[in-house]
Amino acid sequence: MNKIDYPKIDEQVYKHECANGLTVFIIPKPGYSKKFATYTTKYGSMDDHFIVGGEEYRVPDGIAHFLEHKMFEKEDGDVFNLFSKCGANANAFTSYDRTSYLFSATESFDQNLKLLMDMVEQPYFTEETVEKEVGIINEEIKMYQDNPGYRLYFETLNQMYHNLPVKVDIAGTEASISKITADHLFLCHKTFYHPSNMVMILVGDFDIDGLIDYIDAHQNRREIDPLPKLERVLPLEPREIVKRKNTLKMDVEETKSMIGFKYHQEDDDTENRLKRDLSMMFALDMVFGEQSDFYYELMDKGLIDDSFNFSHIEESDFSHALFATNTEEPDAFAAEIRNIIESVKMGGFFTEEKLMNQKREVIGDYLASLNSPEYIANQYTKYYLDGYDLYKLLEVIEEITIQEVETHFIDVMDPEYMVECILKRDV
Amino acid sequence: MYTVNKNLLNNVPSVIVETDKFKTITIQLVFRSISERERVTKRNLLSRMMIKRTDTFLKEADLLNYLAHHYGAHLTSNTGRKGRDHTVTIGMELVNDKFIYEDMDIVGEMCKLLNEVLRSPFNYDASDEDFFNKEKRLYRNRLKSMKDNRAQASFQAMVNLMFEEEDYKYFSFGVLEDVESLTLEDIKEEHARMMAEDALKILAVGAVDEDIEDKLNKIHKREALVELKHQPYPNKAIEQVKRETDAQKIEQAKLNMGFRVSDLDLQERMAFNVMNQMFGGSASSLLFQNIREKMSLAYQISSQIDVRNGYMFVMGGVDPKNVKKAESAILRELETLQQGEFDDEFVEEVKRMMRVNRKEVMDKPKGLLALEYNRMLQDEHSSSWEERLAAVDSAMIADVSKRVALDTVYVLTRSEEDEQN
Repeated sequence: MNKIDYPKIDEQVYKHECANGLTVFIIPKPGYSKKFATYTTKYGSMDDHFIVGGEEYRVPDGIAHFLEHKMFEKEDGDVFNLFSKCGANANAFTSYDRTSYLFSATESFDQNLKLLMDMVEQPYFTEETVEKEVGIINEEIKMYQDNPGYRLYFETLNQMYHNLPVKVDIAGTEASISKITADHLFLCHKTFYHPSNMVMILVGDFDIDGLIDYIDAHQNRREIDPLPKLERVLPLEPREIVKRKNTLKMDVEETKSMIGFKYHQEDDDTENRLKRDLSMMFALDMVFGEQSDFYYELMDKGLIDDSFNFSHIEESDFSHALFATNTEEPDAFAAEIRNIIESVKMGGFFTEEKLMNQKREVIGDYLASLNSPEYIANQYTKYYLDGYDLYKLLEVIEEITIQEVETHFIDVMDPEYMVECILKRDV
Repeated sequence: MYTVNKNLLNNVPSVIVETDKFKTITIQLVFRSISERERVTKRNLLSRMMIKRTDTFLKEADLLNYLAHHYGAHLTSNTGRKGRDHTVTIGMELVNDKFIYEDMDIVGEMCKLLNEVLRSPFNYDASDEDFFNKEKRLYRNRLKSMKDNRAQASFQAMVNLMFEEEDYKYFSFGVLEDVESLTLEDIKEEHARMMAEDALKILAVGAVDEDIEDKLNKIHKREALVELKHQPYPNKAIEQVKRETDAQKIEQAKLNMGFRVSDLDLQERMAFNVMNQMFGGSASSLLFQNIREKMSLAYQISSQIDVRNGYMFVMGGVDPKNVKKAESAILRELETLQQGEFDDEFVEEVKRMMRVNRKEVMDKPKGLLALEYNRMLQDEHSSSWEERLAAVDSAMIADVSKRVALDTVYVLTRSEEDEQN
């Protein structure tokens, strides 16, 4: 077991590797009643095509999410209930690249942790239970289909990506999930829920040694073969977009617009990716945030309202920036975004003073979020799986220069790779 | 784990919760008045304007830059409902100085800023008309865009129907139709009223220094203590169940049901709380386990209560074909509770979960403040939360359930399916 100290933020982390390959992090939070556990596999909606032990498999869209739902059901009932009986709140979620199972409890932690491990490690699927789940997930898919923001988001991704499964709804479609069988689920579980492909993060006020012994004893009882060579197959994706402009119609009150800028640089260096992500966050905030004159220009022209938001995502396989707003003038909105980018590219916009203020703000937000065991568990997992360390974020932030901010902004915000999607009232 | 200091600061009651669990210090100023249609819309606009500009910071961007400079201090405004009362909360969350490697008195500076925030609208004049009109537009858009959230829009429609002739139908976030006619003068008047007539409390939590009271003292002064009795809305008898169905081009229907229960004393309120957790307020509830998991009738299904006023609401997302079936199934689950067809073990499990959830709330700065605020609103002599929870048993649950009666059913469904339903 390794103990890592982070004196600047007054935090510690204990890292432990189990004999079967499972990595465990324990993050102490003295004084907290709540203890929080996440058990995560590096397996998400994008992993629909893979080679394991020399065999190649393609599985239906939405299977990672489907599997997440099914893991809660066992021969003798629903594990949700067992968590409740042990005084814990349990949940799970699936993203592009991972599936996390979690619970929080203020008592009976060991008992709940055993429930979590058993639930995630021991699959139980039958054709009947799989069929029943299709009904529940179809309702979930329909619920999202009625959500204008969600529809707009996936349509925009579809205008950007030709092949990459990031454009597919995490829950799949009614057609794709109807193809899922118990055999598919067993295959994906065996492949991706192998301890060497998983990480466990525990946050709270613990007896560290006792907890590690407890987890080791449990993991040592499992009989697990080593994982044969696993290779994820992703289609090639050019930077070129699919469709520049599109209009959707739905029964909505307000017209909504989303703009996307597609970008991707093959770069295996995780620190470079993190820096690019942070630089872009700073750049977008400086140009489009509420401290910026450009924001008030957009506002005063009536092109945006409080719903205006923007984001940047930087993953190992894709990256893009998105802007969204409710607006009655989507064309003028898009034109103005392009104008702003052009004038920023002329130079002189990014200043040390602006960057310093951005950094202070982000440092404050970061420290505030360390109040939350959920935030720590979820983000520590994400950073770890991406090859970073959440608790070293301040150091990376300090290193970012104004030149990096400017360069990344210019690279990513290229109108050549811009898409526009408009969602209008269906009259 | 933490200590609570109550005091009167310049005639304003205050609560300071001292704990070193958090890396932040959170301050809240809570204004409470009686909720009226006249008031709620003005208050929403007013509270947003208050946190955007002050005497010193005449532009929004200047104020935001000042906050960013102080390590991203967060200045927020929120409105809410408690019983028949409307609340406006001005909040400030800031990073504890000890994590910052420069000499800054963030708490002191932010208390001074809060003082300005409370004073600013007095000085609004003709030059603020543009700002006012912009905020009006933004507020109108926020209310309009809520309608694109089907679950929320259908819930609002149900509340409108259920409380047709009662003030409860005016949500704490205001009334869209009332925004247009508001003037800057209205806002200034409402501000003067709020400052003079509202019950105000100051709350703070974090690893505060000894001089915290001196700093909080700078936020506001009152000549005398203003008190306002906290009470629920009056009861209304149900004559017959109200029903309404609307249609939209949507995939999933939204089923909303409203129930009333009258005359709950403090102990019965706790039983109502436990009953709701058993009925639809948690993942182990009857609605979640039976309607969703066993019958696959819904993806989303839950109940929530307004415990002070004695209302319960059920919200479900269901296939348009299954609306009727889901409604009967929901009522059947209520009958199980009314007839006492559940074991003591279930009651104890839910009570245990409520204790856990309460402890979890105490791990959050705003959660701790919410508990302390509620405690201040309650009568001094009442029994503790824990004692009241411990006293709840199966008989009490069945009793309370029997007093829960259906008032309204509202359905938002798919337009093509109208004929078949």
